[in-house]
Amino acid sequence: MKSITQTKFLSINYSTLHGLKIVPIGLSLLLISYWANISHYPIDNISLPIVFALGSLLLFITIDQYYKHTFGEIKPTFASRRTQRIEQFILGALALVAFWADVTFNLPVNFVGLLFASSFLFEKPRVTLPLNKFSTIKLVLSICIILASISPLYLGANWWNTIGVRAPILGVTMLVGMLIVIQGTIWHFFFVTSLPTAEVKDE
Amino acid sequence: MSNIFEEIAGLDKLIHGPARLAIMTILSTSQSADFLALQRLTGLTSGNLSSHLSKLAEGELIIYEKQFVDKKPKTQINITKKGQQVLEKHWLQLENFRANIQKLNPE
Repeated sequence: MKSITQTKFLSINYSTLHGLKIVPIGLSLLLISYWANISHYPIDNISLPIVFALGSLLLFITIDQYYKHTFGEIKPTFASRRTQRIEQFILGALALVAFWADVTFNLPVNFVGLLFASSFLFEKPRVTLPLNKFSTIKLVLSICIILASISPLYLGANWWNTIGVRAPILGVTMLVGMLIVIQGTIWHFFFVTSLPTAEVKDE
Repeated sequence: MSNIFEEIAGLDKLIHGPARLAIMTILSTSQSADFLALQRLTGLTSGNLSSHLSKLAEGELIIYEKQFVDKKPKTQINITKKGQQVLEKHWLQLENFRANIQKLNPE
């Protein structure tokens, strides 16, 4: 059996640590951003991003069922669910503002990227000291996103174009999508290896 | 010294074992948990877990409800108010016990 502290951490964050559940979100973000990057404007056919979104939804449902049947379910407390909903609402509102700022002002900083980085840091389980293996990954990935979001400051205003990316926001969202896939896969591995394997024989 | 022995004797035996303490801790941090999740988190076999749950339920520290989801049985387990209070008291006793031991060995 694992320590009570570790058991408590796993229990509080049980469904959040089901890493593969965020993989379809990352894949969808990556594919839609890539599609937006290679599309010819003005865009008259948006069936492909709809297919990506529906495909990722189906994949999400399948993965969710896999976790429910393999690892069971822990329902968080009412207070915890309420806090999470409020946080998601605020994040959604801020995402709209950040998107508007990115497409309106031609600044060398990408606000959508910075918002993703802060959500990596502050969403449950938060990155706090001392770092555990889950939060170490989150911290490393958010630093990568911050560096990409402010990259025009140190690599020049048009550096995204030199690597074939039409606009900074597309480059950042493609990177975020890829990092979400990486985080989800690593978290799944960490989650599975964090669970005890041997039976306790205390009676 | 006799106080320490009294403190040990005063610990609630029903939840003092590592398996039951882990079960109670998991349930105290959530609204409810199903049997499979408890099994995964504690590493207990289903027989052993069932036995611990029965004893905790006899002591009215938890309640469980059996349902059928997609024609498969699913047991949902909740901690009771009494269970929360007993667990909190247990942790407090352990902390006091630790503090008293440290007073005896200040180094």
